[in-house]
Amino acid sequence: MKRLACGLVAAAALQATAAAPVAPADGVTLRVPAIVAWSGVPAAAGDGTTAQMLYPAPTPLLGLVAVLTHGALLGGARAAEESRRQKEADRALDAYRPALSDWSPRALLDAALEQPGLPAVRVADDAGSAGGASRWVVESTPSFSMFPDQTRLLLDNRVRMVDAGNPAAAPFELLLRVLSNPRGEAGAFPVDDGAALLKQESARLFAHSIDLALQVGRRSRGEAADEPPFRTHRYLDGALEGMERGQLVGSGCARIVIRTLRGALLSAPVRAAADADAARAAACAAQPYRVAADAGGS
Amino acid sequence: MSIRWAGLLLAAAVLATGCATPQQPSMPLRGEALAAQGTRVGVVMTALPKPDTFFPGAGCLLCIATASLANSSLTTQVRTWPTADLTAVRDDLVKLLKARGVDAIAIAQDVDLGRLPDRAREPNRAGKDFSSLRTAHKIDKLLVVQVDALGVTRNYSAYFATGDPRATLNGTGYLVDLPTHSLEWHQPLMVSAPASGGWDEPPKYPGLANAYFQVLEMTADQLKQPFGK
Repeated sequence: MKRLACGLVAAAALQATAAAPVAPADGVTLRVPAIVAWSGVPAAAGDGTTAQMLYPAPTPLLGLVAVLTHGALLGGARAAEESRRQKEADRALDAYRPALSDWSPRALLDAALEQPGLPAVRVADDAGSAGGASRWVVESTPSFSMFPDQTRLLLDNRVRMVDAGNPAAAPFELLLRVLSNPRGEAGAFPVDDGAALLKQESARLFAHSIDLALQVGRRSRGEAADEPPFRTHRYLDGALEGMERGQLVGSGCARIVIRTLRGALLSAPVRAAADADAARAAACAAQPYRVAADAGGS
Repeated sequence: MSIRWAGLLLAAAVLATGCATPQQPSMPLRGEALAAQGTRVGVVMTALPKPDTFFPGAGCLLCIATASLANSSLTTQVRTWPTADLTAVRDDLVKLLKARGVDAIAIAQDVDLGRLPDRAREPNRAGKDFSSLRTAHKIDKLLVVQVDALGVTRNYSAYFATGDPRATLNGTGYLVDLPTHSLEWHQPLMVSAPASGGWDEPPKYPGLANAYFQVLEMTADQLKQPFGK
């Protein structure tokens, strides 16, 4: 969750982009780091309620020492608590770690490129070369998080698009957060078969995030549309209902895409429309993460 | 017994009496409350307070000053946040009541509870006399949404923050049978939400702003839930 703070960077970058739009043409080169991070989603911190503190202060100097000691103790306790919560959350991945150890970024990329709907994307070679032919280079830094119930995945993908043909142009940067679809009664991702379903889901999320980034990049090149209004949107967050304030910039198969107050994009599942026709249902089954940027998105 | 001891005992007695003032407990909506044919219900809100910051636990004057100074940028931003999302709950409640076949009206004018006469404190009875609203709007029952505080709360222990700030709202929702002033539903509202993914993002504090709007939605949900949401 801490990583979403990076959204500020994305927000600033989005504003910069508005002034100097860049967008990928058909065909881009995709580059990922040598390691893709996996972690657990920690529980929310408490509100920090503690007993009232009375300082022993026979002299001003002792009082100051007491205040500083109190501050140091509180700071240490909060850091330790944060570390404990993250360690506890990371346990959700313990069973999958052997399988994920051979799930290289290259394997993730290859699996993602097999997903339907992704436009022409070539992969940078092992040396990180842009491949020469593509003018647009997409540098992606994905990191996956597993929820404690092991039924859902969260992807945070920081994307940077560089116009290799115009090094002076400002790069287009964006943080995308994608929540996986609910697995319903299927329950936790199975560990057997090399955690194949977990790997497949991570590839789908990654492909979806790249697709979204390219859509947004393309639209930034077009004429400015009317800004969608800010409102609080609801989405499926496991058994609960999540809420996010932002602008609706896309929708698709039981899924919405919101530009958050931080300027990041959040793609999250929603309840499927009850009146979806058979053709749409079939299309969504084949491509569950399909979305299209709505009018008003930039 | 010296006068000093007598004074101490008196002060302790006064404090103990204050602590013993009963709080109205939560009360689910009575099944028959809205069942009678022809019952007319008014839905009213108190004026929403301006969003602000609160620092419980910063107990001494210097502690309060330190907390206020340390969070001044946050306070400035919180005071700009809108409350319109919550105002809409009045019309939503009217719609829900109408969907149940109840003759419901929205009372557009905010009610100022401070101007209404007090009633004797009794359990399960309203502490204010709403008779004037009964006459003015020809209503039999009054659904009141009372918001006492909203904004951001950060717990302190003297000079030091003990946790991250959270968006919070405190208030009450209650349904009053106006002829008898008995409560037919009473729901204390104590809603809070943390900023997801860090909070310290001046000057706009988008994480906390998002939590604030979540709190407004959760409050509206809690108010609407008994009436059929």
